[in-house]
Amino acid sequence: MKKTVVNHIIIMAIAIVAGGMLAKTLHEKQISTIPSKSAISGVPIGGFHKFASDVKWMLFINYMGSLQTINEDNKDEVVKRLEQIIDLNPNFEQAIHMGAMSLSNASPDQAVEFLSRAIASEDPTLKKNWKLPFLAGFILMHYKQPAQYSEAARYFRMALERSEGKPEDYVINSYLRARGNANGIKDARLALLDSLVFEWKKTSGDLMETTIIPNITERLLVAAQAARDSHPGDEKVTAIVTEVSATLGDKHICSSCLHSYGPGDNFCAHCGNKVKPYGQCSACKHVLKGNFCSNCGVKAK
Amino acid sequence: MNEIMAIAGSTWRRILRMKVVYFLIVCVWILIGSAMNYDILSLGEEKELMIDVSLLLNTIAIALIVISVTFEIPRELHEGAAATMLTKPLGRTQYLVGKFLGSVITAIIIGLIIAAGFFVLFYMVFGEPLIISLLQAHLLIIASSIPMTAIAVLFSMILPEMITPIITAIALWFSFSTSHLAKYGFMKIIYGGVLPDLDLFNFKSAAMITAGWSYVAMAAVWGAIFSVFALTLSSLIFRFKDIK
Repeated sequence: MKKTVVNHIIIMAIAIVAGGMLAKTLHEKQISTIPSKSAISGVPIGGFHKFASDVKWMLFINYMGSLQTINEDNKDEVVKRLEQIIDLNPNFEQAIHMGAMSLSNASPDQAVEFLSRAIASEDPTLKKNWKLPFLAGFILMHYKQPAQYSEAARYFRMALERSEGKPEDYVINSYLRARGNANGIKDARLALLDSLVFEWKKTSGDLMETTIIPNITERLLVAAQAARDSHPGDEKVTAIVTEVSATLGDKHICSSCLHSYGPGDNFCAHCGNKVKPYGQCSACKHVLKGNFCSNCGVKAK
Repeated sequence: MNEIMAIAGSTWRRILRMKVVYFLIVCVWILIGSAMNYDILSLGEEKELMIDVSLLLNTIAIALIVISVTFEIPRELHEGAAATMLTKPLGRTQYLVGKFLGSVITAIIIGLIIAAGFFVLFYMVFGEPLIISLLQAHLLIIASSIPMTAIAVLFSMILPEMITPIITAIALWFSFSTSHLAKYGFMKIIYGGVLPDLDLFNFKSAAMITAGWSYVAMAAVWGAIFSVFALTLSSLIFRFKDIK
């Protein structure tokens, strides 16, 4: 064999080994950068999956425009078209969101299935998306028959955790209501109060855990006041009010109605209950305005 | 080296002198820009669509330049132009490497022109400056011209003139899906070394995710290594080929 042929074969062998090793490294790196890559359809379309999903998305919108409503007759076709879009582009947030919304009435299970696939995705964008778990919870709570409150609460909680400390009020309220309903409490106010107490107890006491609900104390006070007004004499509500007022004693809260009172007040302006006064001069009981009493000149303690 | 660059120069000059190339580039820009009109039809996804169209058309443009090699090499061999060149102090390997380099350089120039036009359009329409992840996605597509051209040169050597462009186009098409084959037995061994994976250059599915400069560089290096294999094999085949 000629020397040049041998040289050619040696070069090829080295290139095959080096190329194989580098390709495997690159493939792994690509999968770690785009986790959803492995979920993309294996249909060989020259790497144009994303563009194909865009085209199918526009066709889907056209198709949806031709429908009066989504019902038993056409839901399979809608699901099929959505499946095709998501197979080609598993990160297509808008298609997942709008598809699930459009299917929520006719096929809530299928809608939640689409959403749960996207929620479980390791894709950096979908991983942070709170709208998808919120929608899944919303469908399970409002469209699924019978409503699945426990599962809905799980999704709402996920939405709260993904909100990076700035959740929308409607997400918080949905979570609290779903959690309360999951515990078998039918009344919306009592359900809200029950969940808020659960979250609040995490932050108080020895555990001192953090809660995903912002302004938990203020929310709890408002919910307890509303529950007390709507369910006067309810033993559970009364027990909660007592517990909350005892814990928040230093916040000058009326132990009867949980409304706050001002310095110098001896009785609650809302319910007339006797309250523990504060901000008074120890000698003349005048309201203190600074370090010394403006009435008798005694130094404030 | 001078001989290789002379062959490469003649290849890229021949393509870049054609007025139709620039006409097609303008058509590509118009198509990219027209994506902005799909705002209602795509329900506000026109930005994504413009990105996808730009990546798609850049890939197609580069693939067309690469496929032009499969016309040129067999034609030169058939018409005797290659034989004339090979009478000069020029090796067969140098001839192939020259053709390869000329085609890659042409693809890089045209790919960069298309990408630059896209970024200008993107800025004009959406007011957003250069996005690094998009730049990397375009650069990866441009870098994919390296292994693509090597495949085209190899097929020009082993296939009959009539079917070479078609088979090359099909091979390029399926080369984006070889990673799915890499899971099975023998394919696992030859993956990346003999079996090319052009999907390594494909960040079209996640153009808003930064591939990283190290990835772009590594992908280009892989393209070069694969090209060494494909060109060496082509050279070996060419060595035993009778030419007019």
